[in-house]
Order: sequence, then structure tokens, then C-alpha cells
Amino acid sequence: MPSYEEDLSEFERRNAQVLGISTDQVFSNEAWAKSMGGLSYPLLSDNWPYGYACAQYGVLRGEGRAERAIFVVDRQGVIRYIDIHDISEPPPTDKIMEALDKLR
Amino acid sequence: MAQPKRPVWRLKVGEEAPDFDLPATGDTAGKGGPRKQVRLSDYRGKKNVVLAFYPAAFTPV
Repeated sequence: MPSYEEDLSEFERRNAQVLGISTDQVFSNEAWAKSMGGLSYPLLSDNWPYGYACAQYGVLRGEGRAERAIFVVDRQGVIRYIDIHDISEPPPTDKIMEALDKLR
Repeated sequence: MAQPKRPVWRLKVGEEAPDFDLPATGDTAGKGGPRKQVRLSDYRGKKNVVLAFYPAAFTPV
């Protein structure tokens, strides 16, 4: 997640809001973000009902954690880009930017 | 019984993004801002949204 912090102005330039989502509780996310010196975007807790949003997006793994996945949603609420990644690797930012560029 | 490694259900490009309404850190996570609810549909007509799902807080990146 912190990798997106560096790219924040690039997201802003493309009129895009970054939202982090995991099944952690809000206090865990706050503590984590604080330990990294803070983030400039919100972290959402898909914790009650547990993993419901992750399941709706098809990214809830068997052990109850979200996969590392990116969904770009346009201003009409339509999914325009999906990248579901190996859990150890963050999705490449340049591909996300390309997808956002197509929306402008 | 073996668990499937990946879920079967997948969304596709061009489909409507399922709406959600989730508790969140403030607009700036970990910087002391107030918590709030974030609803995906609140961005409709205003901003593109990049949803970044991640496995867990405190996981190395």
C-alpha cells in the first residue's frame, strides 16, 4: 500500500481517489498507517459483515484475507480495469495510470 | 476438504462496481483525522476511484 503514497499527485492529476480495502479493523489500519508516517488516502475496513465487499468483488481468499487487487471504477460507477495480482506482489502502478488516462 | 485457491466469482470490465459502505480511517490514514464511513457511490459523477484491495495491515510491501 505505501507505494501509492508516492504516486498520489499522479492520481490527483487524473481525478482519481485511492481507497485501500482489507478485512482489518479500523484501529489496525490506523495503527499501521501511523507506523508508516501516515497515508493521504483512507483505508476501509471490510470487517462487518466480515469480507462482504471483498467477496462481492471476488477477491476474498479461502483464509479470509483479500487478494492484492486493483479495480479502477469510472465516474459512472463502471469497472474499467481489473488487476488481480499474486499476493506477494503489489500491482504495477503504471498500468493503473494507463487505465485512468483512458477515462479522461 | 481442500479450499479452492482462488474464488470462482469474478467481476468483469464493463460491469457496474458493487457498491459498499464501509467504516474507514479519515481521508488521511494514520494522521489523526476523524474516522468516517466511505460509500463508493458517493464518488459517482465526481471522481474516478482506484480500489486497492490488500491482504492485511502490517504486511510488507
